[in-house]
Amino acid sequence: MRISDYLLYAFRGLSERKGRSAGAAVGVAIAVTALILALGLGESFQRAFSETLGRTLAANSIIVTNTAPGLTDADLLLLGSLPRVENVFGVATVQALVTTASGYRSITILAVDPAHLPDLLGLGNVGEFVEEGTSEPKGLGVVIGANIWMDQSTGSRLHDVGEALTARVGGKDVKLVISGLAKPYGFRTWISIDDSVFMDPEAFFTYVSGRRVYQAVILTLDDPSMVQTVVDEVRALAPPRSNVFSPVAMVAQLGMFVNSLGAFLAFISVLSVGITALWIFDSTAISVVQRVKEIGILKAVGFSSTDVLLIFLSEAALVSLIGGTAGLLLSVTASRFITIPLFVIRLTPSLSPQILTVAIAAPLVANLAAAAVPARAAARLDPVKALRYE
Amino acid sequence: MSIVEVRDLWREYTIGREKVYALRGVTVEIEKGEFLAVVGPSGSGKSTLLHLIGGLDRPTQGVIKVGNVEVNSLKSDRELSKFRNEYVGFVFQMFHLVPRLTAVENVELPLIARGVEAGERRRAALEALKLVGLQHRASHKPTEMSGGEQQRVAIARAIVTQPKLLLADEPTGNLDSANSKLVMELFKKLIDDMGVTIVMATHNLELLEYCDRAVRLVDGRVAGVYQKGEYGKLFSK
Ligand SMILES: Nc1ncnc2c1ncn2[C@@H]1O[C@H](COP(=O)(O)OP(=O)(O)OP(=O)(O)O)[C@@H](O)[C@H]1O
Ligand SMILES: [Mg+2]
Repeated sequence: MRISDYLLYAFRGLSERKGRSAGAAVGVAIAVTALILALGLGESFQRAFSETLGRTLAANSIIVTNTAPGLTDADLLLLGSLPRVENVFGVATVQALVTTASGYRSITILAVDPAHLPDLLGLGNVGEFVEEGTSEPKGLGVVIGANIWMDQSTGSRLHDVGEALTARVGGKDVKLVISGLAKPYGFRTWISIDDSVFMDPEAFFTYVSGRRVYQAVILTLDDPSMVQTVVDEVRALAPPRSNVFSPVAMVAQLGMFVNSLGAFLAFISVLSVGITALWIFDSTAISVVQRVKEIGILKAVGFSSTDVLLIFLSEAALVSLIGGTAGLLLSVTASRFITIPLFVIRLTPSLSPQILTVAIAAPLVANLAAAAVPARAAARLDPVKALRYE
Repeated sequence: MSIVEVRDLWREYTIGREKVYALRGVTVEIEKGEFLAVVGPSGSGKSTLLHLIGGLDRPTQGVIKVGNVEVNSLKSDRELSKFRNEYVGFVFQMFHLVPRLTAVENVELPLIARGVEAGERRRAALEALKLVGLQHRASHKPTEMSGGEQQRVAIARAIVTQPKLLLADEPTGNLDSANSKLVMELFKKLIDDMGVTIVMATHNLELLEYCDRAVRLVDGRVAGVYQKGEYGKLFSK
């Protein structure tokens, strides 16, 4: 028998029982989709971590935030005196509105000593920070984030170095000058870098905020492995209503979230692979019983037992391939629209050829195994008895 | 020259502790181009003999030769199915067409098993349907055809591979006398045109006029062999 004829014959068999075949194909489609998304999310998290997170968020830093009443220079000194702390600096922030061509836009003014910018951003040096202009805010000269100077949808430039920028903070206007344009940063940490205006702290405390308090303090340690110990000590020392976290712990939490999401999807997938396999088993068994006479006829005209086995297996394979293709299309479409914003990154399932292969193969193998039991029974039927069967 | 040689053929069934003998030492030779009738009471072993000659069943003991193939030595399912496909065409009382396939698709089945390419097997199947006078019914399903037409489709399927041997088990059992006559004339034509050999099991002694010879089985044994002209003796049994 030719391979194309197995498939052709299988197709005739399937179209005989459209309802059951379609049901099984839907099961396969669900299994394939869930499996692709589960594996794809895991992989894209791995990639996000190795390409972005792991590189950008310094593994040896601890972040303390306190929006009200804020952290003082005294707090800074206290936290800086902890053992293992190599470096400490404050970051003052305030929400502001800037006027743009299309009206007001909400931004964050962020005051940090330019010397500490690399630590804050997790960059090797400040040179990597700006696209154009200076990387050091000074006086009323500020560096503005990519979302402010660049149109997010078209990428066209909205502001230039040297232009004035008026920020409205708590009822009064502060006239700033753009002295640098930051490169796109890509994702949110505890603040959105791309939506921030970077300002010289001295000017900030003079013109924007009267009180010398910081909304965040960043500690860097000499030993990344001590992060958790120091986090505990910082929690004990920090003023009430402070939030203490480390990028390392954040990534670990994220990893846990992504893993449990993946596990959930994998569970759905395993469940639907299992249910579909049972369904295929049942549907093949019914089909074999209904077609005993036909099997007898096939054997009488010269089909071998192997041919009969392969005819029934082809039906299961065909259902799997039809459902698998549907699942593939479904997940390719779905992955375009699925973005899971996890407060620092946005995950989109990645569809690598390996993942697609595994996702198609797993239900296929399960269905073949399920169909194999009744298919073998069909193959072993005694032709004389099969022909007499009523 | 004999095309079929059966020597001391036994087929026993074991049911629980009981042994049932379907055939107890049958010996018969069949000439090429012969139209042989196998007659005898119900349960005498006619169907069993046909199944064994056609490689659809395996003997307990004995020798079956078809052409130069020793059928009783074919052990594997592969060998047996290949033998059935190449040497034999079966025609049954119940027609045994696959209901969801059209007439021409039913006729194509043995060629699919053989791996013949689609265009060629369609051509051969239509040719076989033409031979039985049903080319105009090619795309009809069995349920859309009369019993006589269905049996002619089954005959087309049996001969589409140009087999040496046509084994017909009560081929007219479900047909009226007009259709029975049609089938018998078709068999004669196949012998004349294709040189096929036909072994037919039947209860209907009126069909003997078409046959060259009759073997009578009783209780799994050959109880008599009757040449043309000796059939009268059978009617008195
Ligand atoms: N699978 C089986 N198990 C047990 N006994 C069987 C089996 N098949 C056939 N037999 C027995 O073998 C004997 C011969 O059966 P067979 O079908 O060859 O008879 P037959 O001459 O074709 O009868 P009929 O004219 O009714 O078709 C019968 O006694 C039958 O009961
Ligand atoms: Mg019989």
